Amino acid sequence: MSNSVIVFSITVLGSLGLIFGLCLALASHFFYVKMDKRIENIYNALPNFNCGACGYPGCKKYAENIVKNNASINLCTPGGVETAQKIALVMGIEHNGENKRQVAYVFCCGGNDAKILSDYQGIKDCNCAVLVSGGPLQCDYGCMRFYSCVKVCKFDAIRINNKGLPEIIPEKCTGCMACVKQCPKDIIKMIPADARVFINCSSKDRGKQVMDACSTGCIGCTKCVKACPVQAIQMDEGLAVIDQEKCVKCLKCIDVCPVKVITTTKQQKG
Amino acid sequence: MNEIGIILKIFIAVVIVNNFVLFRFLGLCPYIGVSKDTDSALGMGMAVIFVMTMASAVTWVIYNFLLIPLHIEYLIIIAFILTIATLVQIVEMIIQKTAPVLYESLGIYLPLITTNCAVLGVAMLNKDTLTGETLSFIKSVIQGFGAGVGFTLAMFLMSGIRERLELADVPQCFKGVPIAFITAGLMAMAFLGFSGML
Repeated sequence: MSNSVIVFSITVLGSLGLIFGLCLALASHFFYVKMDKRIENIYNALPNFNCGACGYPGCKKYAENIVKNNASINLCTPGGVETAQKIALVMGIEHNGENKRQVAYVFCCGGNDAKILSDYQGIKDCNCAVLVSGGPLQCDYGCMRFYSCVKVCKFDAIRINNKGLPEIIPEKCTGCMACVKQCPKDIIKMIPADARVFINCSSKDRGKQVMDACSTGCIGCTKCVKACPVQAIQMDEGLAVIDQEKCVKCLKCIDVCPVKVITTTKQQKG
Repeated sequence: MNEIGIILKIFIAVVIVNNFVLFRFLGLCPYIGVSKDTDSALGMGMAVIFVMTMASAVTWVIYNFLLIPLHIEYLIIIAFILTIATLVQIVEMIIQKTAPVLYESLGIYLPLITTNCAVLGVAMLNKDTLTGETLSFIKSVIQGFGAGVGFTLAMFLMSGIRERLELADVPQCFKGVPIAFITAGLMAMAFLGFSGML
């Protein structure tokens, strides 16, 4: 009796499994979606961080866009040159050996020098603080130091420097732009990784207003514009902006700046 | 009329009163795991509604036309697991071929549901209701659909609360999953208020 039960169960379940297996096999044959082999190979070569630094939503989409829409192969920041070369191998094209690495940078050096108008007691988050009459600072372009950018960084690439300001460590930054999107004041911007000279201010206010609100802010005196030998610095609505492509790192602008908002990387770290 | 009334009753019962997540505690892993933001919670919810409805229909046929005539009801669990896993795989393939847009939005959640206990639970409860009778085909499908809707409701509420919790000033040791567990418990207690409604 018990033997026949076991045999019966095995037969029924076995045939059930067999039928389902056949169904699956047939389905995979009839509903087979042709995938480009190259997409799979490129996807395997990518680091699979899904950080979005390339501008596409995730590694899968980037791989698809390389094959289908001729996207540039050197967009993967975390993978670097190595990944680009692997992709070049799959696609059968030459890789010029150079990746345009971009890193984020905080364009504010106010910190304790920025004048505080109100004592904000709410949720400790930049995007919340900015809702209360544009934040507690007098300067409309200053970092409020609630560190939403630090919280959003997946790669631990933002530290807080001795002025209490968030500072991005270029070696760790993958260029995913999460902090750029998070910052309500838009003072985190992308710069080439080889940039060395920075104008650490985003204020487009007039000189007197800037001086009222913060002791270290660009007052728009245009001294650096005149001092630059290669015309790399331009005025943009009362704020000096460096074109990093043109900058030759002669550091002449640093000497002439009356408010000392222009720095090089070495000074920042020291 | 009476029949429609019963169907409506089953639907409301399974969505609110006997909610699968908050009353029966089935499908807790996606409930905690995928409820971090509203978009993915809704995507997961839609996939679950879809799979639960399909699974209810197919397992009803398997149970009534295979297991009962052959007198092997004791194989119900393994037979249902086999059926549901196959069903989800086939449905995934069909969607990928025929509706790529739908696949983009549901695709990543479908494999997650293959072996979800809530789906197996709805199939088991169709044959073993609280009143002890086996449901008819239409009622089974309605119960499956309703269970999916209830699951989506719980996921949606939870994800909304968790999005707010991200901004709240929660003590360091409660940040993240611990506060989510406490929230889930409080939500389950709140849903207990519905018991005895029907």
